[in-house]
Amino acid sequence: MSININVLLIDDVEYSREILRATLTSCINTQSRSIKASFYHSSTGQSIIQQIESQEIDLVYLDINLPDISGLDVLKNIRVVFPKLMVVMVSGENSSENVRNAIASGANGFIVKPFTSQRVTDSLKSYLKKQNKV
Amino acid sequence: MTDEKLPENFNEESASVKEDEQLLIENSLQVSSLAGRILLAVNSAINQELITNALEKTAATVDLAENGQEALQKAISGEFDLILMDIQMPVMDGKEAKACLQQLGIDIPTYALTADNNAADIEEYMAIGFNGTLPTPVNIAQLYQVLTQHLRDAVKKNNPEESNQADILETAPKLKTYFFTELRKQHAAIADSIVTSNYNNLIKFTHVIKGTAGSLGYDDLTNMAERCLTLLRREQLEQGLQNCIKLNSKIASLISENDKRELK
Repeated sequence: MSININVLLIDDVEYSREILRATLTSCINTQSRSIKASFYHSSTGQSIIQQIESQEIDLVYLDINLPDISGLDVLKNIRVVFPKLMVVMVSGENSSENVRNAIASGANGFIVKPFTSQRVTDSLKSYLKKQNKV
Repeated sequence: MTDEKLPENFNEESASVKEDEQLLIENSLQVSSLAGRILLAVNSAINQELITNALEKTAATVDLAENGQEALQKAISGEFDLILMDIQMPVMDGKEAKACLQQLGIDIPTYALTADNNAADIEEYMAIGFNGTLPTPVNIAQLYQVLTQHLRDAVKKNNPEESNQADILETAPKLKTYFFTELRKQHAAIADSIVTSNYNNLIKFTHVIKGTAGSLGYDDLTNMAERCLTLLRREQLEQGLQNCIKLNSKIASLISENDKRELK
């Protein structure tokens, strides 16, 4: 049985998204061959709710440092409509303020650039664990 | 350690202490080959010294955190095989730090170091997600048992998760071409910003390099960019500029090395 996951990458730097996509693909390949991920992206924090709905997103990687709106505010907006959607915050800095705010706003993960495969794998495992519980 | 120094009530436990010592001798023969990365977050200098000493007899590397918040930050951005964490710490205690790690899905085996070890305490720690407890004062034999359970034997087997960043380039060979195309653009833009002393742009470009190069295995580039960024943000502009010049010449040499490889 194969699992399909729709992953949304929100980051204004296209190149950063590509690295995350490649890291995720590599982690999925080492984890399990039965997972098939489809990637979607957005370079802004606008219309994210609609995008999650229309593309049936299962897993979101959300950069904190977006040009138009803070990723933390996007997270708060997502939580109003999708309390259980798995959202992993992505940031260039692990400042305690960012980490605390992310946790308080209901983030399910926090990964710091440059990505390590261990942390990215953790976020995937944690997603799969949540799925199994449902 | 001499017997006279031990308090009276310690005699009751002396039998088990002897057993522990025996175990310790047996274990110490094996611990020297234990390898991995340990995050040690302890509040007491004595415990830190004691545990660090014990860990030095292994092949593991140790990173220190002074409180729960620092441990949380380090766990988020680093790679660790094991966390040893005090329950009582300033700023953020061990329980809160572990609960945060759990919420963020950070799956690193974590042991609580604590003097509070009654059944109710232990139950609480396990409910938060701790894998176990190490009562303080720390018993070295017990510590080595935990290490044996969670660290890999450097002699016997390699860590299967050491797939490493090189794999990422294998699964996405295009990424490398992309990386160098971007790097070329960044090189020109940084050179331009250095000439015009455009510090805001320099911050923007070094920020992107810091966040990307390391993922492809160019750790030195990430480190250099981080140094630039720190200096520029502290408004140590002269030094920041000097470091940007260094960074840009490093970028230039990486680009030319890559060009040579491509030609072959």
